[in-house]
Amino acid sequence: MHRLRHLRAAVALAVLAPAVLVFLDFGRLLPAPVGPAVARLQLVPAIVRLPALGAIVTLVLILAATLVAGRVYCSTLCPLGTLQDLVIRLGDRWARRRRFRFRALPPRRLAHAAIAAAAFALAVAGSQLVLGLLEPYSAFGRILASAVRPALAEAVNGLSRALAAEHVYALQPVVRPGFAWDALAVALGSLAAIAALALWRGRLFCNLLCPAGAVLRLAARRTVLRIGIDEARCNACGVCEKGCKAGCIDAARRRVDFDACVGCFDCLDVCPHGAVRFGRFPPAGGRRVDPALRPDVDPGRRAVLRTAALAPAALLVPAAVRAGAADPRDARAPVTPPGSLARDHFTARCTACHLCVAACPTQVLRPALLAYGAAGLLQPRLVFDRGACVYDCRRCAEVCPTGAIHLLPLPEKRLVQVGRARFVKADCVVETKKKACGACAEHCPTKAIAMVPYPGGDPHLRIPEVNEEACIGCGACEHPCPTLPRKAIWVEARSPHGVAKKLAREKLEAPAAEADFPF
Amino acid sequence: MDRRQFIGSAAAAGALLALGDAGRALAAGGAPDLVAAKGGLPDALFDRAIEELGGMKAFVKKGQKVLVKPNIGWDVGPERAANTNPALVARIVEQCLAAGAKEVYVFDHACDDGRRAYRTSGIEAAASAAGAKVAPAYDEGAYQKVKVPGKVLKEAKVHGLLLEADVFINVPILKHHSSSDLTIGMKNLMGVVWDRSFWHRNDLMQCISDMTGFRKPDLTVVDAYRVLKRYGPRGIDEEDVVELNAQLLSRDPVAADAAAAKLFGAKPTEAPYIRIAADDGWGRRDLEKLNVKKVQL
Repeated sequence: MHRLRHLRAAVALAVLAPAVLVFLDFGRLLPAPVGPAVARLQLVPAIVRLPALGAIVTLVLILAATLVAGRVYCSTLCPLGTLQDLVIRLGDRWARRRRFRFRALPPRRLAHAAIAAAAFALAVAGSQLVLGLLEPYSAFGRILASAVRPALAEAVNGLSRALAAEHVYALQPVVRPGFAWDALAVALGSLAAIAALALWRGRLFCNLLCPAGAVLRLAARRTVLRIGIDEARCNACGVCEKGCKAGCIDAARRRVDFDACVGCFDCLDVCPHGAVRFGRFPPAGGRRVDPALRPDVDPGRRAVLRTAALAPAALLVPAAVRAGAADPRDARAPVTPPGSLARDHFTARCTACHLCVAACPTQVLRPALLAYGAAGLLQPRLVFDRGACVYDCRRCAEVCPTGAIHLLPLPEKRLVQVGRARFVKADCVVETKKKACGACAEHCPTKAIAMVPYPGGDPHLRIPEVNEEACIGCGACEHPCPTLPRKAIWVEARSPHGVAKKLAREKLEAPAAEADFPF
Repeated sequence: MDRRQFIGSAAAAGALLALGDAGRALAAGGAPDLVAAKGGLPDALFDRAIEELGGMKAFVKKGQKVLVKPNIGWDVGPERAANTNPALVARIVEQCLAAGAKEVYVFDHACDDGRRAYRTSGIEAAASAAGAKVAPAYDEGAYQKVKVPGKVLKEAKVHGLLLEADVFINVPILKHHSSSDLTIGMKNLMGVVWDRSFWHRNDLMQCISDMTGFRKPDLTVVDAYRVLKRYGPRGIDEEDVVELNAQLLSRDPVAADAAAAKLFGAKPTEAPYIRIAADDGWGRRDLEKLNVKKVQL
């Protein structure tokens, strides 16, 4: 095997392993910086994260590498690229198909650029609907977070229960991922589409739909080193073209469209004459593809149609913001995680990679198809049926690769008001049954909920009272509230987020050390 | 044994049974109803106090399975006094094993995320190091549905290890509590059931008493080393904590709570479930009539 191909495969697998494991790391066994590191090296998340210094460094490194050696990014750092390669390899093996079955594809530069431009333009306008759907890291993340992780969790918990029945507690049950049918459907749908494209036409996704590929293509037009065909050695046998999953080699014309090359270096291996080389070649100019091969549809028009087809989705308004619902609890706006500053800030930057969804220890952070309407697809929000946002936790911000969730210092994070608790006295157990409850006040980490005497009741009976200044909207009250069918205390979203005031308290008197027991 | 001896011992046994708790105290060599110890670290306090009750061997027999049930409700460290002191839990585990226990189990159905609470509280690490099996309680699969002879609580899903245990040692921490005024031993029993929201929805105070009657702890050890004086059961930060350096032990879950309530600075009647549980017959709250042994380290 050619050493470059060898190197490419080794780097790709070295990147893929932590990229996968970070989504499945229930026990947090991965060293802290490893998982998010892969996410932070991703092109589109870095573009979205601009102008952060780390994002600039990432982009400069990727662009420099591309200007030197072409789109090596697409076959090493991009986990969706590696995933496609694995699909092609396994698919061929399973179908006992020969490896050399590809053919030169029209470059479709305009179509690719148009789709990417539309995706980025929509993102700049505040909607991640298209960029989030096509961005390769996020598409990859959603597959792992919504399909693989829940399946693995069920397997682990099944085994854990079986062991616990034998009093073996070595394998602890894991938090069941907040499973969502819509997220699973999108994840499996995109996996099926990407796999089908890969099996049919190799890396067509990367050369038509991928926004990262479109950006890198621009840089890969003129590079220092490139794949070229040594005309003196080539006998135009065509094996390189058939082995090229990017469809960028036209063997008959001995031309390589290097901007479409994904840097897999497979072709270096297949040429029996050593005519395909990686080195200094003049850029291939002009049109490579025989006009007869060109499809008679206009790719630009196709891109416009594709964008137009996605537009109705952008017009969908979630039930949450429908006006005139009878109870505000049934029509609440989504609560965004602490550090996301405001709804607009969050939705303009979240590409829905679901790294935060996988990392969230209580699964309070969960995606919904159009929770934010046209602003994005499957962007997560806080839902309190399974748990609350942990007071001392910043996992979502630690892993977020796009800057949608900022990592605030912990004392600051503890004061971020993502929402405010709304108390519906008429539904509270104390009001309806005249019995003590107070689950909300127990769980409140800032003690923004006080239990105050219930007028006219038993002297021990107390009812919650919310102090809005101290409330951070974490949902620690809503989660344990026992009332049915609706919670008597619920979190109303705040946007932009506010800053809570810590509860003022008097200093406690230390008890006298020598005092006797009072009984 | 001749006939006379037999009748004599049978009569003695009958008398002991008739005397109930006091009889058992007699059987344990006139052990006090309640031991109150202060002025030391939690593990040292326990070592001293358990001696007053006849040592751990009075509770744990060779080959028995023991459940040590601390309060591991919250995702906060020991300095916050929202969870039982980890050193105390570890020492109880060690003493149980030294007394010949086959297995010692530790669990609590936490209020915060259980995995985090187990870790942050320091109890998982301390109890495991002492030789306990720390069992998860955050998976519904660990619970079994049982009938409860309660007035409100008629059935509940309880942790399987409670049903299996030969000996049940309840190790609560004394804290202020926003719903029930105080949380001590009987309130700590909420951590053996899965669905707590039923309690909150249907007369919390009566449910606490009902669960006490389902399986009375054989021993209650109240950790009052650090005490959360306000904003319980979770507290805001260390400003809500005072050091009392105390510990209470009793075979009677109601007496343990009544004494702890007084130690906190409240009347035993102030936490309504103490009165309800005494009225329901699960123990005594008339501390002045009990044999209390006070120990100063």
